[in-house]
Amino acid sequence: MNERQKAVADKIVDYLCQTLRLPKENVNYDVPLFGDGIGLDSVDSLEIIAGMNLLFGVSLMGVNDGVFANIRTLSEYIINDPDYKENRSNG
Amino acid sequence: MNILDINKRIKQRPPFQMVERVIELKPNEYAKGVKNVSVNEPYFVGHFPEMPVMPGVLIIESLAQLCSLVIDPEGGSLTDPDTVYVLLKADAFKFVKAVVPGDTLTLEANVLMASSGLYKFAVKASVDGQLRAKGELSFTAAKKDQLYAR
Repeated sequence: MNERQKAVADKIVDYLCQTLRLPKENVNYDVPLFGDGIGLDSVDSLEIIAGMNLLFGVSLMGVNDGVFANIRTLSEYIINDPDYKENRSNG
Repeated sequence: MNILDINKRIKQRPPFQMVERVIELKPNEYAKGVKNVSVNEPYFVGHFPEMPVMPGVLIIESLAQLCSLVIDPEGGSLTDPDTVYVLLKADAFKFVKAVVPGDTLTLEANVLMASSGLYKFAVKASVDGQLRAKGELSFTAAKKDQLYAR
């Protein structure tokens, strides 16, 4: 993971911990977000989609489920999206 | 905004209408409204006999109805009869003190986040300036026919 992706991944970690009230020690780049990992559900996925749009300007509507597998896949998708903005304000 | 204006914006009706006046409204930002709690409310018959206390879930409902007045998305989806905003999540609610007949409940809703069809609010209810309940409510847009799909 390069520095650019890592910066995005760390922002996602902070967002998930704050918004979904997850304990930070349970969250890392590779833990599965849904199912057997952190155990997020479809309601949480809507909050992730909304948050990624606010933080990075990237729309995840209708994106393949694999993107949501973990924070590594999510951050990789975001930095490669043409709409990605590094320093977008928090709205 | 009086009750007639509120009726134009939300579909709830008595005995399930829980915002009676809107004092302040900034679309997509903030609203302050009022719900008067009367001893004649039908739920006081059973909650509880000899000890009328407004159910916490109905305080949440009052706040949710106020939130739905704040939601005014760009693109005018409010005028689309097939799209409705539904309650998605109630987070971190605290019920600090009981709400009882005679109380005038002042409701406030502040938008925390509005993005990708998701609205998140910080809400609170108070009586005479004293906090009674607070929490966070999230809503999302849904197609009406999806709600009934099985």
